[in-house]
Amino acid sequence: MRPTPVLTYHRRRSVAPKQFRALERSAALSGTSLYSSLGGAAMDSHDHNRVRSPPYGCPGRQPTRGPASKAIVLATFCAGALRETSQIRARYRRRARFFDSTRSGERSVAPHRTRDRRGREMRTLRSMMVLYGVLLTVGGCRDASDPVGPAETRRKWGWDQPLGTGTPAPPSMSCTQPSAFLGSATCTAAGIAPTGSPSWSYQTNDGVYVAGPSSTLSWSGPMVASGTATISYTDQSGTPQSLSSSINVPRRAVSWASAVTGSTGQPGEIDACFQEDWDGLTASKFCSSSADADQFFNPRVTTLSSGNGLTVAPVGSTGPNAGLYYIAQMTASMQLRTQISPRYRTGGTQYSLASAPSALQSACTAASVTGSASVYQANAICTSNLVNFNNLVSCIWAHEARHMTAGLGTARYGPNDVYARWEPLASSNATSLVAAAKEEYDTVHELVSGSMDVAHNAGPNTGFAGWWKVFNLGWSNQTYYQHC
Amino acid sequence: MSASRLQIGVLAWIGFAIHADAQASSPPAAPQLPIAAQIARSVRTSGNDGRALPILTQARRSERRALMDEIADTLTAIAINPSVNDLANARARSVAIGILFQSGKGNTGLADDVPGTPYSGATSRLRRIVELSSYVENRQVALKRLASLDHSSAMLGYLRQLALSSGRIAGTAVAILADDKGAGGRAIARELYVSGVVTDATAKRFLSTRANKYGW
Repeated sequence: MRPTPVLTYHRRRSVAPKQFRALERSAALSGTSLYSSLGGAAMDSHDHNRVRSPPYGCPGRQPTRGPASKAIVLATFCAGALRETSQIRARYRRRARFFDSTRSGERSVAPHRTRDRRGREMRTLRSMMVLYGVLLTVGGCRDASDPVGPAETRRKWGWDQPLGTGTPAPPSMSCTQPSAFLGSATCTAAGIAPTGSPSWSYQTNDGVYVAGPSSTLSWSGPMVASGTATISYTDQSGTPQSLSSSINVPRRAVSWASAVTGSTGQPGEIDACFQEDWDGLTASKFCSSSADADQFFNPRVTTLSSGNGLTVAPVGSTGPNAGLYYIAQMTASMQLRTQISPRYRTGGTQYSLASAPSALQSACTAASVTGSASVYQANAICTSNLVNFNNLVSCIWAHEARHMTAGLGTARYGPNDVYARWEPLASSNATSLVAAAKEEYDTVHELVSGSMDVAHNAGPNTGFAGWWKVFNLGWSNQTYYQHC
Repeated sequence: MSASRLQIGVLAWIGFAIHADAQASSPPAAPQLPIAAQIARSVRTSGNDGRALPILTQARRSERRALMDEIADTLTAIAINPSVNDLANARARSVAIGILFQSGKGNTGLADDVPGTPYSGATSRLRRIVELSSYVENRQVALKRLASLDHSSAMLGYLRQLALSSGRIAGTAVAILADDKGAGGRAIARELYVSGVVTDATAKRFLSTRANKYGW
């Protein structure tokens, strides 16, 4: 924190620089304060805020001066000095007249002595005039709320700092910039008197307001949201003032690209997600029922919460971002799997042959497959349709791959990056922060879901004939169309 | 001499008392944008805003209806109007919808969950987004938020109407009816499934999964 030297209040342009420097040198040599060397306003050697009766009395106050009062002070002083001078002259004129009228024998001596005495008094008066002129020019008083406070208070206001030199700077405020997200920023003000009741506040660029401490000239803490720090105070005339400084918080380079993955499912993977009449499926690897098949994110949108997909954390209790919440951890993911219906796999679902067309029934009987058969058995064992059947299976895998590719591409597309959309969120309320994050999550999910749907009809629509399949009404060998 | 000194001192004190040498000055006041414009800029550039909710929910004080409507209309415009499809704009659209939704619930976004007054204009704005937004994902999400705010029977009719439309909004309407609207909504979804009047492929698939789940 930049100190506020006490004697900045003394140094004004009304004191000739040469004269001021001389006084200051003598003060430094004698080990006393400049104030005491100017007029005997001795300061306690252990607590130089404790001002002991300066020439015109500033008990419990800080000395100060201002050009607005300078003219009044000097004019008043000159008037008083002239009056004093005229009184001395009048007194000696009366004394001279007394000698003239009473003791004529001393007339040759008394006037001489009288002139010497008057001269000494006039010289004394002139010395006093110079001394008080200096004091009046550089002296003065202003209120200080806690001039005799404890050592901590003195340090807080910088009164324990060495005396400065030069013209006092106007009140100022600045903030250091955090070097990283959650890095510390320190805002420091100087030149503001404690009587100005300084108080801090911060407003993020998003309009979130943070009330800060009062009666301190420094404010620091970890930062997550860029914005503007402001110190409000009243100046010596009681007029409200404020000084502001912006703080830019470096953003985190986050991306959920590595959390977005997809691969061909292993046999059995996401089987629980299949509905009976689906040929293939692209879904989250965590899908466990067909009702969840359209939920591609983990966790699913409706269950996103702090600790499940993201972690919300408070910034802390100090500094311009005190009380704000931000998203500290992002763990949501999209892990897609493609899968073909279990009924098309070698160990797939068995379907009754009782109502199957006679051609299939006899073929299966000839191949020693009786009672029921899977689609694979019907085409690979009962009949010689394996090639045609495998062509369909390949088509379904290709179809699902299109779904997955579309979903991955959409999720990884920059504007749809969930982590990037979450990164700048900050709120003074953890609940609303999660709600805002869920909004982004849901929107991106709809985008991903939509792009995967669009991919449904993207491939060539191909007819597959010469193989047995199962429809709702049972076994059939009609041509089957699929977008490969 | 002492009388003169006292006189000088007193006058000096008076002089200092009227000392008005203000050294600090306020920074020059920048022209203030209307609050709605400030919010719009914040939503577009930062992807966030902390002013809109406290105003829309009147969390701190009673607000002018015109001001609240101006903010809500600004957010609606952000969600509806086409813009460059970059991260900032994509985020701005969903943030705008989120603010409208939260305001309709009365969530203030302030510390300690300070309660607010639900903004009654939220549903009409969300409905406008559902019908007019250039972005289907924003239409879908706005419909979800609208449905969770509006519990009227008229809302069920509106959802049924959307389920019969084409496009992804139909699938969203079906999912809301079947999953989020209780027995009344599920009855409408079942009726749609049984009658086979839904034409959108996604909506039909959604109906199929619900039929499988609920045994229709």
